[in-house]
Amino acid sequence: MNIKRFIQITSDGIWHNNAGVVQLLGLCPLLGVSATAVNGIGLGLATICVLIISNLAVSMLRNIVPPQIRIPVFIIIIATAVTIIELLMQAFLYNLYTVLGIFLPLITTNCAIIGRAEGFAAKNPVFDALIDALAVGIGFLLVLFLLGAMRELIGQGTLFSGAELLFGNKASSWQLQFSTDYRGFLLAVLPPGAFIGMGLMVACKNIIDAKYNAK
Amino acid sequence: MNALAFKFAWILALFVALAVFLIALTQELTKNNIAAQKQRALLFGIEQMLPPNYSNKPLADAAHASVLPAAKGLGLNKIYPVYQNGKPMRLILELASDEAYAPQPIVLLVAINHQQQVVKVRVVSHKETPGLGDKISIERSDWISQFDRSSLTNPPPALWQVKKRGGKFDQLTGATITSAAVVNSIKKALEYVAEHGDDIYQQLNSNEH
Repeated sequence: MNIKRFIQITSDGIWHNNAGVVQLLGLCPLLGVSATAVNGIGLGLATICVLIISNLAVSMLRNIVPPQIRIPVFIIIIATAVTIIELLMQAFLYNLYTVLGIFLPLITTNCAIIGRAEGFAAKNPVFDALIDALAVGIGFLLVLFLLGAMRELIGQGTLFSGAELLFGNKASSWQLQFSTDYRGFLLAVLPPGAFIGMGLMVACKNIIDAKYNAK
Repeated sequence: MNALAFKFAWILALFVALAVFLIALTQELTKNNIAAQKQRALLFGIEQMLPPNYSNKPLADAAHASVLPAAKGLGLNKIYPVYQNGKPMRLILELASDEAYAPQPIVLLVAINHQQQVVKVRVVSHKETPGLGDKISIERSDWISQFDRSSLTNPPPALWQVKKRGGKFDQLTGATITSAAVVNSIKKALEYVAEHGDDIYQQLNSNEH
């Protein structure tokens, strides 16, 4: 893989073809879990894990699986990957599992993953598929984090609450409280707020793109 | 066409078999580890519920629901009794609520003292919605502390409900079913201990001495 191709895959995954704000894939977990910044990061990390395994497996098998039955095969691969990751996490990283475990089943319903399997991994060599998984995963994580941060800030006036669950005890001081008498804004915490926040993010991206293209 | 369909069916079957094999293998290899981790989490939860001055070994003295008075709808698994010099102090009930929002039960530890008062409630494991129902665990919010010192007279049984359903307890925003499941479990635990508590203290005490 040359450097140009690498840059193209990465910039597509993170920006131009972002799974969250451009393709609008994976909305169910994205909107459901992004109530706080830390939850967003949690789901983002879990998604990256599954995406890497699924992209690698699909790419390796791309010449063996007949195109007519590729979709059910992809679904089997993704469901297997999620189940195995859940079991391994439960056995060896129990503390992380108690935090991320609840997100894992949501990933099976994330169309972004089957989207990458179908749209990229099934047509490209293994290493490209790995880079694609990382790029798309990071792009998805960024959207989750920004949306989570925005909702948490507006909804409950804090940032990084619960960081110690994900990053260990030293992170308990990360939480930022902006006002002690903030009453909260329920809309931002509930799913409608997630939709509105998402809309704003899509709009922001479009504005940035339009500015950039005009130059 | 038929031959092709058969070929595809075989390939699919092969993938399913491979997937089943991999999952079964992982499950078999991780089984003991997972059980040990769950046990550790449970023990940690129980430790948090022990008073500073007890004299028995609650874990060793624990009794499984099968040897205890029948608990209908409580989902009781075990009771860990706590004594001080043979005097009853607390019963720690390990129970699983099947009224949770998720298909998996919420596993709770409820400590009830000899005065029929809730001392502490902790969630050991659950699969409730991230960001909404997961606030039942103390790591996420102190919602569960509102039950400390509650009893069947405080509030009276009719008010053992979430506010949205006319009761006294706060519900978690967007997770009324989860909240109501926890409230109901604690109420049933109190009722169970009110009815059988003395017998259980005696039964488990005599086991030991």
